[in-house]
Amino acid sequence: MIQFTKHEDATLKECLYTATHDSGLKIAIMPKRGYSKSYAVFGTHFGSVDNLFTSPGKTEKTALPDGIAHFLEHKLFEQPDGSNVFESYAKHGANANAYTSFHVTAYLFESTQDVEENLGILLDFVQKPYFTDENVAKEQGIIGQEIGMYDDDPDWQLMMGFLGGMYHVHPVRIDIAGSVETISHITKETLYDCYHTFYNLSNMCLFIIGDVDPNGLSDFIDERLLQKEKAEGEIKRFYGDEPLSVYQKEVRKKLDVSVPMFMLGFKDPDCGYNGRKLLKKDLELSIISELLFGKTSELYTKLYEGGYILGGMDAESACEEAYGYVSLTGESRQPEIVRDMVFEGIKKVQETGLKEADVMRVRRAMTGQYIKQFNNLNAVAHQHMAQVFNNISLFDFPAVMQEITLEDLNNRLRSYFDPERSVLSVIEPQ
Amino acid sequence: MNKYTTYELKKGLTLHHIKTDQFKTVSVGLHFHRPLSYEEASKNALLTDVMRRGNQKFRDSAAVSRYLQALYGATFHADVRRKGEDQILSYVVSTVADAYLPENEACTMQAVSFLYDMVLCPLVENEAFLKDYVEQEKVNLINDIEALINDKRSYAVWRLIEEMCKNEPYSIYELGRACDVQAITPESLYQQYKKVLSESPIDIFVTGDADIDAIIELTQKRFAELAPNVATYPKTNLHTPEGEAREFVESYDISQAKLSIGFYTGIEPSDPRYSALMVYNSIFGSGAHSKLFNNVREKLSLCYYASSRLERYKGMMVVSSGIEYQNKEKAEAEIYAQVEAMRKGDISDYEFDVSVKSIVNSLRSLGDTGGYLADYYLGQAVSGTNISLEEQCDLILKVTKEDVIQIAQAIRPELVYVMKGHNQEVEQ
Repeated sequence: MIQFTKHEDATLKECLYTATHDSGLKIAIMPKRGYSKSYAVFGTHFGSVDNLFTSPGKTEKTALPDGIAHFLEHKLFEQPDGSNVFESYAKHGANANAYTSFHVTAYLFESTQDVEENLGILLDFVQKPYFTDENVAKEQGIIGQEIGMYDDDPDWQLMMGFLGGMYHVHPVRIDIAGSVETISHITKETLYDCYHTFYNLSNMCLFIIGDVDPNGLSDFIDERLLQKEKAEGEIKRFYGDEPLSVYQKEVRKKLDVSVPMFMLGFKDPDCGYNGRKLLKKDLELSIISELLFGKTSELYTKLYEGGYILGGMDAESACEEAYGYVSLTGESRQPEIVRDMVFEGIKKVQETGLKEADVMRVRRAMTGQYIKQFNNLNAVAHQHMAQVFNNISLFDFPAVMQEITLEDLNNRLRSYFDPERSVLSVIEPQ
Repeated sequence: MNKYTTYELKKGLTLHHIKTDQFKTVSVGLHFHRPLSYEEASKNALLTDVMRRGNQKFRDSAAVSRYLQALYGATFHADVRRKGEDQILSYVVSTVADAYLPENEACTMQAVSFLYDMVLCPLVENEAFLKDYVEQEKVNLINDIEALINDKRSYAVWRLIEEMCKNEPYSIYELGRACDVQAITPESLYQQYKKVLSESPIDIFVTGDADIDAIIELTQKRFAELAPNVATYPKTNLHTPEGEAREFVESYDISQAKLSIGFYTGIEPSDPRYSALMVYNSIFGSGAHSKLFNNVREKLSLCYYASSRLERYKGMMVVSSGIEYQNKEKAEAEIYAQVEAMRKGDISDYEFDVSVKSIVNSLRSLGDTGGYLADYYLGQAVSGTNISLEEQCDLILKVTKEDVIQIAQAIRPELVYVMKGHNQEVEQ
């Protein structure tokens, strides 16, 4: 039986129901009245970075070929009875998909009818792996094609160049899909090993959002979960001993683009924790980035009006337990000058510190963005999947935002952004 | 569920309200319609870029952004899009609905006023836009035009359409051409602004839970001076097909080749057969249940992606795929084999049923996103069909397999476009 705990956000007028199943599966459901669509995602804490681990109760380390999490995602759609998962979904009007990120593998559907039937399909196929020598060989061809597409994708190459420059050893520097060579080492045995370790329900979560009733679904879900008890022990993951310094300060690649693209970023010197503390850092960096690099900043105005950046510049922060960075992405004919100007702009603000009035304004904007986010079911589901294994809840934002002081922000501003820990990745035209 | 109401405020100025309390936001979009032409395309694109930079009250981007941040992170976008041969200048503001703000806070009416200021009180001096802004945005716009090539997947489809419609306005990119951008001056841009304001039909879409009477009153006041003379939208002509199917090949620095095929359907949105065409497209090539996906990709592993889509306003359909160049002949033959299967009526009950469900699911899902919903109704206005989302679902549910087979007889290939790597040759 699944007993939900109800969490309410009065400003949002939204409720989140959470429960942990006997198997250890984390379940969360958010009803959205007035929406036609329901969206469900069933995911595991297994991404491309998880390439060295020990299974629960064991001491020896297992190393995996690059790209195996993504490969497994493709292969899980294969069913023992030969049935096609997409066909089963389609019969109930659902749109299905899956994705693999650095940290999670997720299987999802969205539909405007037959939510129970579709949820049944989702829970069923993810719990039933079926790998054979033939279906593994066939997939090597298909994924080889997919990798070819990433090789031509300038945005992806820009980011992989950036991550490869930033990290000496952390596996986030390796392409999610691996390479044609690494996936050639994948066999049905390695897939089963991975499956049994990482697709244990205690390492997974289920999230449903839409026109649904949590209590009405609880028995339905419970009956379909094959595992009834929580597994003993934990998976241990090893990401290597990553130094504070960056691996390469500049990374360049040539591709068929019209103007150079750049990604400039700073490596996080303060890692090793998750939960609300991690969210707090993430929000601090969002406020700081907005004021340093956003449209209201002196730096942005100089870059834009001087024509150093073309069409704008996006600032983003990545905050994971084992690594983090803040990055700036854009197009420029002079990425090196942009870098110098960014260093100079940051230094200036580090000296004066942020101003309370500016911070207040950005807090208002971020509060608005937080509220607006709940318009978009897919975005909420994606956000949940990205945060749940970091022990962050969808409703943590208001409380954590309130904890942040001007002093916190100025400390973070001064400790985080160090030109010595920066990487500039550039994609140049041929 | 939402309620859709239209208010004709004056000739050429229509306000549409999609009333719903489903969303946490209120969005207001203002759209001018212009005929797609080389003469205007670049000017209109540049106009939205320059106008975005500021108005008489907020004279630069930083001031605009500070104002929007204080309005709980309201967003403002200005850009051009096209629907058929109608180039639309769109200005959209979106803000948190007042019901979700702390007590005594309200943003909606301020956001609407801001939108009207951006459109009606642009930063103009001596009958010209600011020279600096114009020059900066010209560089960015040329860059955007040239960036079309960066995403090869969409570029391979664009090159096909450009070539297929080379004698029709539909081959004009919505941002125009770099050479036309070069020629624009701060003065000529201002002349274009005056022309757009006085000679274009205007639609305003309000999506969400807002005090519509107050918005109408404000709109009437702000647009009192303005009298757009034109009440009809720019017309899109159906594509005129050439005689024989042909092929053209280009090479780029890519490892994965692209194969795009353009088809003539001859069916426009107002045609009673349009819903059957939508079902045809779904069975043939739209989604994981489709013939292209299951045969070209899954069964034969000939490509990473293969799908079809309708060019809604032009009576065309486009197949897009990514392949190994050496598989080009095989992939092309297999795509045609699927066209032939459709023609022969080789459509299973499963394929038919799930295609209908898939379209209905997509249409209903679209209603869950305010922006898509407004864009759907804008499209209905442009094509003069004015079919509600629910009505469109009903029409799809009424389509029969025979209707689809009828459609299949009319569809014929016209142009094949191959984008290959520089050193790729077919193995002999």
